Amino acid sequence: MTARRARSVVASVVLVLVLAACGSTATTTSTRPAVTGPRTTYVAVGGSDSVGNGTDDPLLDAWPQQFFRHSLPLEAVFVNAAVPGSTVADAITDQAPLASSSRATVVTVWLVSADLLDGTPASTYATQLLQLLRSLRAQGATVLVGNAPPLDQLPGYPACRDGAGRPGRGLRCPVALPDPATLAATTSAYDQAIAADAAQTGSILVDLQGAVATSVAHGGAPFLDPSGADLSTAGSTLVAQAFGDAVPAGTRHTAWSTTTDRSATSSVLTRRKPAASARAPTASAPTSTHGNQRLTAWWVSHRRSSRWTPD
Amino acid sequence: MVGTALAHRYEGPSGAVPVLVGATFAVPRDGYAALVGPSGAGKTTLLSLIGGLERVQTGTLEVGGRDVASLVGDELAAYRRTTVGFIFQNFGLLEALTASENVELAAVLAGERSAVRRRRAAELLDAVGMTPRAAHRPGALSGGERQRVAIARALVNSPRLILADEPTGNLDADTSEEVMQLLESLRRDRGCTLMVVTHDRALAARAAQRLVLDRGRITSAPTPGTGATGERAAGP
Amino acid sequence: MSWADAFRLAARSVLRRPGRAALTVVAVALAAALFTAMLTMAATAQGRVLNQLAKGGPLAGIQVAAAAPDPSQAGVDNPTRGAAKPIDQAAVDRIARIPGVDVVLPIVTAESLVAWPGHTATGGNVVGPNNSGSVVFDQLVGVNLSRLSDFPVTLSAGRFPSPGSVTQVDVTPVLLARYGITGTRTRSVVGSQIILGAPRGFRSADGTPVFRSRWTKATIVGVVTQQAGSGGVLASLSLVRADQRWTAAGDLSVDPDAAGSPYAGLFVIARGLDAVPSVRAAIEAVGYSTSAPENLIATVERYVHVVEIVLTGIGVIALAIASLGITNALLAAVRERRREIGILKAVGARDRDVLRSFLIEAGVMGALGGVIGTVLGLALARLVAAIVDGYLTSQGLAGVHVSTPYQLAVATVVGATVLAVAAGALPARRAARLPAREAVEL
Repeated sequence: MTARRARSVVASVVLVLVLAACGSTATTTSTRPAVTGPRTTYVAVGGSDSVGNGTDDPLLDAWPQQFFRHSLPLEAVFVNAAVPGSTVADAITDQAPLASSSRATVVTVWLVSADLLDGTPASTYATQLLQLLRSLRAQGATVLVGNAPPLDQLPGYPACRDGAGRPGRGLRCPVALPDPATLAATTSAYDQAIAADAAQTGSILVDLQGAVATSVAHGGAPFLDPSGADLSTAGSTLVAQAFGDAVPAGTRHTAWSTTTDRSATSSVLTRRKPAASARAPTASAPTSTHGNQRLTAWWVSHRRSSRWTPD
Repeated sequence: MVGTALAHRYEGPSGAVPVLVGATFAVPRDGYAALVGPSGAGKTTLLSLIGGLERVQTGTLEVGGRDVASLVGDELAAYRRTTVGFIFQNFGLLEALTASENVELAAVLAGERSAVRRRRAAELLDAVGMTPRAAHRPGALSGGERQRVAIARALVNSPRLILADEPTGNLDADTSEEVMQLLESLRRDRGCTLMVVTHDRALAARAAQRLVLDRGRITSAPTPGTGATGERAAGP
Repeated sequence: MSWADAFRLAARSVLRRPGRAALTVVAVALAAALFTAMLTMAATAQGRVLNQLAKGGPLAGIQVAAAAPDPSQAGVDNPTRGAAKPIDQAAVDRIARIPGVDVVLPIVTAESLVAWPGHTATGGNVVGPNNSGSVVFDQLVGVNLSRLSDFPVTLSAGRFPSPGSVTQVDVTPVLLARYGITGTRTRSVVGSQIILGAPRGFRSADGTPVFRSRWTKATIVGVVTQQAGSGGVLASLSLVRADQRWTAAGDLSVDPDAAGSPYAGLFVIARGLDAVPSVRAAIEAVGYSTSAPENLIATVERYVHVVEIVLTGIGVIALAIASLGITNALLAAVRERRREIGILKAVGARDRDVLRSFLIEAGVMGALGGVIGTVLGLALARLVAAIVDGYLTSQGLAGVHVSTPYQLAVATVVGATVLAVAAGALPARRAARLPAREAVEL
């Protein structure tokens, strides 16, 4: 047997055995190209209804988080600048600078409850909102601004109306709550100001008034949590979807994912969110003890004990 | 070739056994001699000494002017290869080789190039009439055919001396006659000395010279007349 | 007689008795197969063990921690560490200039929330009531993904993230176990989407501390076998550095730990195992603690070497026994071919021509048996390795890899041939000494 023949025999045997031995669990699918270049940076400007209080899992169910997950591209970055109880004036000093330093390319603004319950006059609200929107638009960001839902679906109002007081989540109820008609008129004036300011600054109006009214008319899941102080999980989903539908096509993520926190596209509140938590909301106790404060406390207590080690 | 007082003994179980006790002979160049004698007389032994198959123990032996008794090892092998052509009673062919390869064997051992030895083997096989059977192995040949091949092999290196040990011992009469005629004609054509060991009187009568080996000694008697082949014995 | 003619004559002689020749060759082949298979499997096992010790990375890899060395732990494979000491770029450059260092690979880490919608984790570091929820606290470990082959990390499912990707990550079994995903089920997570949140401290207008997270989405593209240090998510340097920068830009009065070491650690590859001790000493002289399984590897290699010697001895004995078969076969051949040898001598063969012919016969049988046996042995070793590999990977462990030991294959064939020629020496000498008169003896 010549050496060449021996080599071919060896090669044949080796080939057979290699083929037989093939079966590695590691796949070799072609890799997607790495995502580089400018990324969508989304900053949420809002109040207590933007941090997820009232949902089953605030970190995941807060409407800006849902909006980020389902309506923005895979490579998007999200910072929730919302501060519970923030008014528009607060946001100008507390939140707008963060949006600027983050070089936000998409900003959502939903600031109604705190100003309304604080009794901010509509004209003042309009002026402050205009200033806020201008500062956000100045860096070229796409700004989506939501208007007020119907009064009885406004986060905080039912809680104050029903005497829930200050649940300790940044909700400030007025000592003397105006009558519903007055509040409704103020709300309507707010909505007009929001529409006008949005048009003036080139921001995108998100009609939560209409979306929530439609949902209620169809008898969907409750928009607010049982305390009436915050959005429920379903309500957060509705708001997220409304903002998502308003995102310009070029920025929007093409489809909502199939995670269980996504309700029907056309009528969000007609389908219940499958229970992901066993906790039942109660009227007196908050549905969740999370929010930025709880997270803050957690970070402070846990991260100091951790330091990366090689092994 | 001239042998003088050649003596040889074999070691047996009960001691040394003398086979030759002073054999003296002379065969002229190009001569034709028959070595005869009773069984056990030492004919094969003497032939072995002349052919270099055995080393000379006592005496002298000259072939073609060379002192064969002084040859050892490779020199003796070279003598066997180039000076002597040996033909065996049982043909002596290698079963693993074809007729052509058997004929080439001596040339292979002499280091001849393959083209040269192949041509020479083809010529010899043609001369012995074995060309059609050149590719056959000995097992497929008759006794006579095998002896023809053996004759061709003995001649491949153009030896000066051909030694045939009972070349027709295993053949029938007709085949024996053919083989002897072939051997003798080749000897004449190529001009070499031929010594044949035989116990056949008729075969011995063909030779020009008859050497009788008896009890270890040689008595040389010229063949009456010119011998069966018409040759006259020349002087030493 | 030329070598070519001697080979031809030897080959004809061997083929005259094909059955005897085949049996002799088979004996040599079996011995060679045993030799080759044992040593190949030993080498494969050694590679697997060393790979396990080096955790899939190069054997000469050294881990450098962002901590000072403990002088009492010099020379220990995994020493205890001293006080924390940041690793900055200047330190990296100094270490890279140490003689014997081949490459320095940075490791950056970032603390992060890991949110996995639809999955529930339990246990410590879970951000939820009663330590149950979808969000856990973990660490991202960022490395140069284009140099992953140099890191002690191996895949058990999927693939590594694309170099530079900010949306692809690998996770570890430890992280998955927190979500109750273990064993072969870990493979099912490939393709899932998780949300990562890097923390940053702020101080509100009223002075209260606030942590906000910078959230990003990532797709799990693979599962790595080893824990990435104490981190559960393996990602690109780009992804982790972005989170690091976000955290470090926070209010230090709220989060004093925010501005940590630029590099959480380094992975240094020395130029060979021999250079590891000196490189470690030099790095420790720069002021950082190192760890490397050099002593363990050296110990393992010593033991494996002993095993290899034993296996080699067994293989050589097997070959020697097979070679005795060659001696036996050739001695019988010499007895049977006395006349034939005599005829060869009679037509002019020298003693050394006969000797060479028989030695070639022996060598040919040995070489043939060596080649066949080597092929069989390699095939057997690969078959065993395939079975073992299948079992290991089914258990979620790193498999085994069989390389083609060319040197061993050549050594086996050469060794079998040499042994066969040595075994044929006695019968060859006996044949060479036979007298030419054997041709005429009855």
